[in-house]
Amino acid sequence: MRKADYLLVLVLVVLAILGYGFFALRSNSTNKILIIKHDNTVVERIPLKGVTAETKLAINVQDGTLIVRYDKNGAWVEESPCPDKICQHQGKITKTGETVACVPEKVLLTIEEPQKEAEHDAILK
Amino acid sequence: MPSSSKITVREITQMGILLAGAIALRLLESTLSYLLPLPGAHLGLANCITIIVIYLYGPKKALLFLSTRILLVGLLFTGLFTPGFLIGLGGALLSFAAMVFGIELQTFSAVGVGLLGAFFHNVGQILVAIFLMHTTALLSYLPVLIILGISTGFFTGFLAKLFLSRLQGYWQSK
Repeated sequence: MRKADYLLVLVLVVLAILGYGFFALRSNSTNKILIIKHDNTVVERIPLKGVTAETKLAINVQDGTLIVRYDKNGAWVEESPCPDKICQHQGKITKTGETVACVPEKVLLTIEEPQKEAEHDAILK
Repeated sequence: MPSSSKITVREITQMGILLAGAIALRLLESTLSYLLPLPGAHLGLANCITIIVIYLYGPKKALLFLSTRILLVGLLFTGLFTPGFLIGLGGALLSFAAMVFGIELQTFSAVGVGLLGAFFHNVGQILVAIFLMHTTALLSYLPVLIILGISTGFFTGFLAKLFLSRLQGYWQSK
């Protein structure tokens, strides 16, 4: 181990802490909107505040059906036909800015704030 | 580091053995991946072999070695040009470039090179995933991947260093 190696570890730790801080600072507001995208188009846009019971949603994807579940706190992928199941293991997302991605099936769940979402829409148009 | 750009039969043979090792390690770590806290994370044991190859044979031959490994691993496990393959490819190429840079600088030991490799492997993977999914939201995975990368990078770098020091005198590349 040389001095530069220790320095590199330090730089990486600082980078990780800064990154973590950046994402943790985002508010856990009550006004959350769940966005479900498939193949880069929005298929569902659900304001979680109005959700009363746990709901199941099936999305037709390349290899079959991907099942998403959501309640008033957040959302998760219950079942996916993709080979690696990474999306299933990612578990539930509850905070704004969090995301679950299933890259093989091109499905993306994100939780956003209404304000922020509006900004995104403007960019996309 | 070797200066000759011509590849000898001796080198081909040695790299063949290392290639078989790299592929076996890749298979091993995909069966061990449940040990890690994050889905899809790897120990990067195959990267350990890449470090050894760059040190022993130089960047050019190591790139040939890496391309062969990526192609074979793609054919054997993930399938060619699937999203998983492309993400791995992005990670492998960026981490290779970073490790070659780190070795040429000569300020890092193999441990530092392993750390660089792990960090840039994660960055490369996330960048390809962002490109495929058209969303920057995936960046939120990066902090936890960096922390994980410090431990795996340290481990692979340390192993490479140990391997290279044991090898000295027994396995010269001339």
